[in-house]
Amino acid sequence: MRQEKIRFYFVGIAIILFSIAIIFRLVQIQTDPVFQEISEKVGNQAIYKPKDFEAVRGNIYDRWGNLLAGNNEVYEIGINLNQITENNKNEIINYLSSLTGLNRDYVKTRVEIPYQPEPLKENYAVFSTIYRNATEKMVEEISLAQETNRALYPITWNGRLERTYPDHRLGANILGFYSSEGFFGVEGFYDNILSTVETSTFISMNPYDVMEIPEIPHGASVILTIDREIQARMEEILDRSIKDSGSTSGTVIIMDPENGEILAMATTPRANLNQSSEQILAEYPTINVDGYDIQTPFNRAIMQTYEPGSVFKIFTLAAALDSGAVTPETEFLDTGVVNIGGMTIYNWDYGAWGYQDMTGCMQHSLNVCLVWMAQQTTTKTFYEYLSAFNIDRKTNIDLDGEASYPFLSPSNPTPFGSDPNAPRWYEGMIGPHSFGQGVSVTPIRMITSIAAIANDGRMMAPHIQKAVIQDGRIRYYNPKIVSTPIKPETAHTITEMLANSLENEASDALVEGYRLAGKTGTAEIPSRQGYVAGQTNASFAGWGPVDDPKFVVYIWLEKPQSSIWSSVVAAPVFSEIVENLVILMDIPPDKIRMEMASSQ
Amino acid sequence: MNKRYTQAHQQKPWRLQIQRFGLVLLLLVVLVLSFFMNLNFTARAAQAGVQVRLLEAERESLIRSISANSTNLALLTSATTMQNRAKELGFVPATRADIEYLYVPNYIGKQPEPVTILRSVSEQENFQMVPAFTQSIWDWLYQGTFIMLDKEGQ
Repeated sequence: MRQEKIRFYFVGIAIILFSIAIIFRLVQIQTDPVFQEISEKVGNQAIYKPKDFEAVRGNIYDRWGNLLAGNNEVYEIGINLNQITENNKNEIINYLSSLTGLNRDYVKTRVEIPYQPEPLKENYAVFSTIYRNATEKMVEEISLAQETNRALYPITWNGRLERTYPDHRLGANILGFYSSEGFFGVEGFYDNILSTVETSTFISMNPYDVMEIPEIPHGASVILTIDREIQARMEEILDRSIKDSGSTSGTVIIMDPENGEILAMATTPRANLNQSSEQILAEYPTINVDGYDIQTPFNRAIMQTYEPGSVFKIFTLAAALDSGAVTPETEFLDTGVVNIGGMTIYNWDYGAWGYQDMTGCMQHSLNVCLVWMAQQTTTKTFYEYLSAFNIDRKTNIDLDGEASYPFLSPSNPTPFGSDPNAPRWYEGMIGPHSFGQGVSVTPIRMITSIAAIANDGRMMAPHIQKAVIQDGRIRYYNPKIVSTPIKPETAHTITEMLANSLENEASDALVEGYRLAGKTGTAEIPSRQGYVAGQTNASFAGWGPVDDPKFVVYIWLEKPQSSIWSSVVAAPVFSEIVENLVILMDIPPDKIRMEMASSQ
Repeated sequence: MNKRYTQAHQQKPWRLQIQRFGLVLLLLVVLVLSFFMNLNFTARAAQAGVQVRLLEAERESLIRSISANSTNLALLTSATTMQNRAKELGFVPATRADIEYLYVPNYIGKQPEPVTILRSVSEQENFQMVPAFTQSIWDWLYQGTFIMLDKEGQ
């Protein structure tokens, strides 16, 4: 009996000791930092998953609310690597290869990536992306296939937004494109407001641990001053004009002179923006110009400078009239040749045109007369006026990548340094400057400065943004006056003179029923060996209706082949543009407008 | 005599057994009830948690879908598509000769399409989650007890 008791107590003590040991070990596991770290790591791997919260990029609209850039839903198809087995691998490879059209070897490589759940390891891999930009139809197809085939279960997909341009190539030069960030145009310039900061966080997979998803504000939307219909029509006219004239490229800008709004800006080439960035940039190849490799500008209207030629004479006339150096009636005896600073300058036809008033000088675009006009204005005043027209500055238009070329003038004689071989300003340069040679500007610079004449001498800041929608509010752009280079009376006089000169010349630029002002410009193209024979830049600047200008048009055709003269290739384009503009902008003929005004 | 007195007030052994058994049973019932109550609450909380996650995913998907729908609508009404449709329907671009201008008093001209203005995050409702979705049953009991004691104290 006693022995039985001892055995009983012994077993009891053994059980108690074993229990104590278990409890001790449990406490040790719970409190040991090494165990705590391991359990946290293992637990977190299962409980927390990284997740990116994508911000919705703001839309871009035209002035009438038509969407020019938005976001479309695409899917990223991939596989969960931990679910790949020898049994389902080949089936998945074959299925994804046939569905996506991707090379089987490529899909195989992506599927065979070894599963590595440890985030700190170099070869960390839990998910392998197979195909980006899949359509909703493809995803629905996978879903259906999974219902009947369990081997395809490891295939998953995630939806995301992709930048989409509903009009493909329309206004490509203005819009720019988006590929992880905005490039060129509006996408580039307004990148910081179109997108907001994306957030990445770890979300808990524990259903008891519900987290709030971060509230990411949508990017601001931008309403442009562009009119989609005008833009489309201008692109159509420009493309046809380039083809007909055999030009290498072309640019057309339409601006509202009253507020600086850009209504259309068409250039060539225009890429299809619904492509990868590599494909887009491939449409702007690097070309060799005068021994230099130059990438084709994305938007020639703001990124390419050129010598504009006789359209620049508008500024010479403005300076001469506004300073009082000449009046419209001032007579000039044109001998057909002038020598200035050791340079002999002739008229475009090497002819002498005899007595001409200032309108005649502009009508026949006489270089010799314009040199005289600049001389009468005096060098100092002439360059002061050019500076007031901001010829030496960028316009600061709200588009990415505006270019400028140093302007040689008395106030900036050596912009290329003191090297004796570097171009520098000298007194004789007033000659070519007076008729738009030896000065290099962008089309946007030209139209902005010329628009001042159509707007009573007030130069408005050119802009493409009409309004921004942000934080639930719409904020409209306030037009800004950047300069007042000439008096309103001078502006009216110039408009009248240029309208008369077009009418006297019976120019191809005229449009029946509408009085228009304008000036042609045929410029020789400079190279390292001097000006290139037989190649020109044909430009035309015009505005109307003369009594109340609603539009300014600037046209530039590069190296036209059918004729080198602007009056032949660019003036008819201006006429066609205005024919369309007056319809699209609802501008009745002058006579009807006058009648309506008198009946009100 | 004393011993007999004690014995006289002693419960019968079977009664004591029933009382002890009843007590154990009561404790057991309370324990089982608590267990099922806990299970019920946690299951509901988990279900709600899963639902919240599903709704969050749906909300994300809807945001993408809304954006995609407006873009698809724009694709269907793009300048090129509309021009082609107009051509198919026999329309041609108007020329000046086709247009007759009339004076219409108070006509304000072409108006832009209304653009959707999204409310800012600050203007939106406060989406803060109610504690029921994040609280454990112990937190709830603990907090509830304090609230009750607080009320009694007043």
